[in-house]
Amino acid sequence: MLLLGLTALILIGLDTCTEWLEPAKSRFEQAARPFHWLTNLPARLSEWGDENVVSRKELEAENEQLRTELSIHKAQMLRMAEITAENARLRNLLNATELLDDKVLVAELIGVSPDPLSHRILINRGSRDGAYIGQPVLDDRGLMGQIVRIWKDSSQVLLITDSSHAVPVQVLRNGVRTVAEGTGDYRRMALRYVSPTIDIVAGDVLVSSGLGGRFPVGYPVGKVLSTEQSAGQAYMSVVVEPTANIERSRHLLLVFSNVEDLSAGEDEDGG
Amino acid sequence: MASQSLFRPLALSLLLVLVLSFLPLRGGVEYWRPLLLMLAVVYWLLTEPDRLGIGFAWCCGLVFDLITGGILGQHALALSVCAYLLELFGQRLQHFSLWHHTILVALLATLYQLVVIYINLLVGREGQSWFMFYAVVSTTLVWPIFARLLNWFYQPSR
Repeated sequence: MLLLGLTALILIGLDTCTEWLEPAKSRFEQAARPFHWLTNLPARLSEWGDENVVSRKELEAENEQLRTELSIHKAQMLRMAEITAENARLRNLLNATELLDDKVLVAELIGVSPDPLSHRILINRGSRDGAYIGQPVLDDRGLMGQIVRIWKDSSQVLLITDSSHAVPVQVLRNGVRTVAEGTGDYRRMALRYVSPTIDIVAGDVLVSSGLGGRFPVGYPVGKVLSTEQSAGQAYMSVVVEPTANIERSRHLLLVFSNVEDLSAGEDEDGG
Repeated sequence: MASQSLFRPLALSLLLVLVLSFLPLRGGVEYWRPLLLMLAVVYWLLTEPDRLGIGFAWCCGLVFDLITGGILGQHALALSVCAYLLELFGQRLQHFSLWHHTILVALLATLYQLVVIYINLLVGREGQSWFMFYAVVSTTLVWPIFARLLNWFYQPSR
């Protein structure tokens, strides 16, 4: 008993303090693929049912709605092109770093971590599709997380609500920069070390700030639910609700962002 | 021959338990997921105490950790602590009724979750620790059904 207990403790220590066990873990987690596939069957079946067992009338109505949406979006895109060009010109004038278009790849959720405290999901894109470690993952509403482990045709995503995750953000309204941390709850994030004098109020929208170079600039991360300043505390406690539908989204987007010009800009500043 | 008749139901039940613990539960329900692996290990230790011991529990826990990608050794430690207690009480437990076993399972599940939470805190994985005890309740409620089911499939060689 003592021996086994000690071995377990040593393993825990090795796992949390070093990276030595990483290859073995990665290999064994791939062995979990069949389990994920099997347990996701009901969800996939119901999705298939939703897609295939609908009346003609419903389909026509949906088609109509999608057409309307498409034409609205197209009209907005027309303006977008002009605004993008103008933005690029202005940025050139300012000698600022150039942001290129982000390319995206659609991925599908194929598994959820069985441990309620670790917010990790499996998606069906891997190194074969060009995904890479650290790649940002979005859903249609906002930032979801980043890829932390990668295999040939699947990868593991650490969600922004995991208690070990933090993402640099800024307030859309006034550009205040801060860091949003996960709390281990799918519907809550927290801002740490926010000074009481900083201008953040409930309802503020937080977007990724692009600092740290991991996440691209400007994707919505969350919305401030409440701020509270309790006596005796040096910092405000700010509760944030993630914008992305972290618990429910099954179709995700992988972002291929081009931030290569960023370093060039830094060099100019340095020289 | 006898050991062969044990191997199949054992492997089958463990596999089933593993599959079930991968069921994607979300929206608060995930905290109520019973500790099925613990139930299975406790069941097998209670029915076959002569052939299975702490080592068996430890290995089950390690496989679980490896496959779920948790902290390596966490569930191995929790399970081997439970197995150690079962071994400490020894043969007496076998003659308890199902209801006594249910109380025992409740205690073991609490202990199991305490070890898991303690290790989480130790490595700095904060989370909602109180929610972890929901699983103790669901585990206790599931045990009578679980034990009956396994009893139905497997007759101990005694």
